[in-house]
Amino acid sequence: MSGFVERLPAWLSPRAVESGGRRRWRIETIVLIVVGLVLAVTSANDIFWSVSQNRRLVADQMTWRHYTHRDYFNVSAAPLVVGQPVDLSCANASPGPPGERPQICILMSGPVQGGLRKVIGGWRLPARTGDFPANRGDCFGAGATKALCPSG
Amino acid sequence: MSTASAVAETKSRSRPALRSGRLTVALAAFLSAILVAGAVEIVLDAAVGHTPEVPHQPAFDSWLAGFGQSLGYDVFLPTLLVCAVAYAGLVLIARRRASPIWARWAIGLVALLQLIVFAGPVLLASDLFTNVAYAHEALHGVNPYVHGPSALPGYSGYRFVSPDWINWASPYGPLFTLVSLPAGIGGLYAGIWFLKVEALVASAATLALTWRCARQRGFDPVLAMVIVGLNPLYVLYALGGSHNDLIMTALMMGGVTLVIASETSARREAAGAAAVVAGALVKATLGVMLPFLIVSRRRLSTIVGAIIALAVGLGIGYVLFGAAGINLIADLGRQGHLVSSYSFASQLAHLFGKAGVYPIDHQLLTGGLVVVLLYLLWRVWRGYDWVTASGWGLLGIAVSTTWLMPWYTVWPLPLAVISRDRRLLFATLAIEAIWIIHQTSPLYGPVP
Repeated sequence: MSGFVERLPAWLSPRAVESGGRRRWRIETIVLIVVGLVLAVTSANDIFWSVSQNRRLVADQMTWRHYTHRDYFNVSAAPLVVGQPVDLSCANASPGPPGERPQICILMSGPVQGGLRKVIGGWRLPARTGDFPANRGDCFGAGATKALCPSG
Repeated sequence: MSTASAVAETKSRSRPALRSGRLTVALAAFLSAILVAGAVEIVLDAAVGHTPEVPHQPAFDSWLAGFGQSLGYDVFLPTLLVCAVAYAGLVLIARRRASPIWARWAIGLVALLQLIVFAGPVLLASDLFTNVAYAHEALHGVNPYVHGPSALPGYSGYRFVSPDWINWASPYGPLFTLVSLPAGIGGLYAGIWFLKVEALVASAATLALTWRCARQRGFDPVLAMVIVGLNPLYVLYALGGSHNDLIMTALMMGGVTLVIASETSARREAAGAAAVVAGALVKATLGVMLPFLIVSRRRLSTIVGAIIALAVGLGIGYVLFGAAGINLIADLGRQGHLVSSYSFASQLAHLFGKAGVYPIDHQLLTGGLVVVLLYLLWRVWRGYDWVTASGWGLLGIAVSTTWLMPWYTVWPLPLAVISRDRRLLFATLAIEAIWIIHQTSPLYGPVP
């Protein structure tokens, strides 16, 4: 098998050292630096994005506690639709393990002011159910007007 | 110059040098202590119980419980950051010519860190429990390449498998399932310890082979050992989670060792190619290395070695697990369509104001990766180092995949430390640094 390489024509034989190069090395290095900078900027942007998202979600939880006059620890908070500024916060209406009691859910939008956001609607959920439109009841505000709850 | 003045000059020169040497030794000892303390802190806190950083797991290491406090992000992330800084400091010290980090120190520190993490609970991912479940499936007549762990009736470890994976068939190569079969023989504890030992042995093999390759190529093996073996992502994530990526890297370095040996023979090269294929039969990602090896050597022996290993591996895989067990491309494709918040693709999507990664983004990233791999292949054809090209290929996959896991960034590291193109090492460490800094975002504001 070792004779295989010797039988190869010159242009096909493996090379011990790569030909050419200083200019290509410089171009490659510039491309690598640019890619690295893009990734660094992307990461920095994501950190700011993540911190601002967390601030908003913490404000959502505070708003739920303030609006419902219930100082519970386990309050969920998440965007109603990913990428949109309307958030949904849900938690038990009475003390108990998370999701084991009927839930109060409220919709919030707008900027954080004084640690709180503007409530624009909401609904109630029975205990031990997921937040699906069919389970929503007593809808008010945007919950009712934007057809987020079952009709009637 | 008189003898007396010459002696005085030598003394005046050597005193600051001596002082600086002692300071370096003290600094190296301090940084080593930080790494050990960080690992101990994480392991003892993780042993307290389940948190987002510690997967739900049985109390197989209950003797460690009671010493720490529950491991939350508020402890884990600062510890990771401090360990990363200590690691960077030790790498810089090890780069100095008169480095106090001599071989015994490096080996001792690396071994200590590995043993601390090995003794502790499973960290940061529940993959180990999924792999124990796959082994149970394979031994109880359920094909792990067709059914997820949910198909295993009455399996006691079921509750420790992540809900995300209970219906997922194994995405790994048949060789991994084969070497992990003993994990399914005994009880759950025996299975966990078997996979932990397997990961530890694979890690030790990776490090030993990296050492050998570094010496073979004229690099400082101590520096190579420090860069790979003390790397926080390698220790805490890859070994902490007992990931099969370590088996892949061990086979990868085995292949490199055989091929770059000073007295290369056709048989050695064939065995090297076979080792790379075996690594790809553990985790298909390593398949990226094979074209670079073949194009670089252009010897029949590498092609024959690869074909024989592939035929044997796929043959055994087919006999044991059927056609589904050898469909490596489909396995890669399935995972490739997942999106993790860790991935650079997700971060790029946020930068461009998109809510997430879409199919078109997948296609663009795959296209970009193919272009990079073809360019590297052309470079290798013209004489570029195939080991370095393989490292770039693995780094390219880690950066472009939408399913990036922290331990994926470790893939190119053993190749980077033995590469003559130092840009690969800088790029790999820079990507890891960016990833670690990104992870610490919960420390900069309130967390819901």
